[in-house]
Amino acid sequence: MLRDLRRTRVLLGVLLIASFVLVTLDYRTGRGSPLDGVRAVAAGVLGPVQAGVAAVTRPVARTVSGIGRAGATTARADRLARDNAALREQLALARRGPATSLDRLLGLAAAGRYRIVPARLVALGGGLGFSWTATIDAGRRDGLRPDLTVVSGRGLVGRVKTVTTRTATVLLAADPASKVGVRVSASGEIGVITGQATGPLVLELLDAHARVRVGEAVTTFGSPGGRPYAAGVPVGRVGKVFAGPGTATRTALVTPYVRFSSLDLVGVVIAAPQPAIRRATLPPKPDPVVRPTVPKPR
Amino acid sequence: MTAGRALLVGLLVAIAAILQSTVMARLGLPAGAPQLLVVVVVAVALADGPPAGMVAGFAGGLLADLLPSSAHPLGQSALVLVLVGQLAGLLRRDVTGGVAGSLLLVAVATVAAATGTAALGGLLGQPHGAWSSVARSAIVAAGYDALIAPFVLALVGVVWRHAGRRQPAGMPR
Repeated sequence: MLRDLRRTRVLLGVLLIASFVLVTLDYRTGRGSPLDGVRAVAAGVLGPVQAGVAAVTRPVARTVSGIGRAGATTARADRLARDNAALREQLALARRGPATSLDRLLGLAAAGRYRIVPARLVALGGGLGFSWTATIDAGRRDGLRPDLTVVSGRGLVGRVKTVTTRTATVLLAADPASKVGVRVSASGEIGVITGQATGPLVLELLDAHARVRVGEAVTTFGSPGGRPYAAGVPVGRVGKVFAGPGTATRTALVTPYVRFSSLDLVGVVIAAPQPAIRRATLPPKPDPVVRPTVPKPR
Repeated sequence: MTAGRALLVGLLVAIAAILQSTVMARLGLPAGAPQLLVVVVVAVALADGPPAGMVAGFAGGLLADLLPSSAHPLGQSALVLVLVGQLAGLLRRDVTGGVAGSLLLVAVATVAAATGTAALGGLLGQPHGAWSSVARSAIVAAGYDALIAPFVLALVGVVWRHAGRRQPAGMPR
């Protein structure tokens, strides 16, 4: 009994020290950790396993998450979700309010001009952490690379974090480590959206005197070259605005369009339309034909 | 713990870790998700005692950390689950006899695992959101875990009985 207890203590010590050493070694995850090789190998093996299990268990997850909704016609729902995505995008862009003609031009060109690789979400989260990361079943061989925008039929999902041959890891917008530059559609105010792990997203507006109303749509501001975030992707709707005194920024809660815990079909934006827009905004060549300057008589 | 049982423990936690990320986390249940891996670690600890619980926690945590869908340092979940397995193993003599006791232990273990993970993540510089939301999701997960615990405990118990001589809880080892 006593010897048993001592052996248990030794085992506890060994396992705790082993975990602690691993955590210390892997502390800089994704930024040159010595265990990145191990992770890459594990991702190459476990990613396809997750994809396989997800393919088999998808009906189960769908049935449960579909309770209360119409869970039977999911194939049709997928198609409608895709159509809806395009329409929502146009709607969000159309609602930009008092836009200049240049803005309208850019918005018109941007609507529906993302080139998207469709993928299915196969796993969400891993250990016990509060991180919101997911595995999708498209990888390097499908043209994916890190820092690409991931969208769903409803709006912004997140960005690609790491890529293996057949799978990729996505950092969701709900993750506390995720930061997305956004624009509030009607008022045009800009800010940064951070995840909270649970519940709505937090929007910090850069202007402390910004006037933002409940219900306004929030879209991504866009990064240079569309990486990591393409411009104009719908994110969510302003739910509650805090006017805390003594803060340098104004904070609001944003209800995301995407339900992160029941995501299935997503699209990875592999080409944002930025360069095309830049060229498209050049003025047209002057007409070589000489026009009469005298107005026609009425 | 024999080699056969170690293999069995490895198989159980591997299934739990994969199912956790592919099914449990994606059910879209309101306000949280069950933590299947925690339940399995507690079940193994209840069936076989602290050493098996600790090994299950370490192996399961390590595998969960290695999954491509997880994004925290390798060993973080392992560290927390080793302690969960040990505590559940130590407390198993106090919860024998009643189902309610086992379910309470599962719920307490879930809350401990969630808060322990958040605290450890805080030390490592990971944001985890407000503590109130951590507490809420921990309590919700504890509720879901208590719901699935009867099935998981029964299943692990059956597997253990068939895996070889059973060591009834409460007997001197």
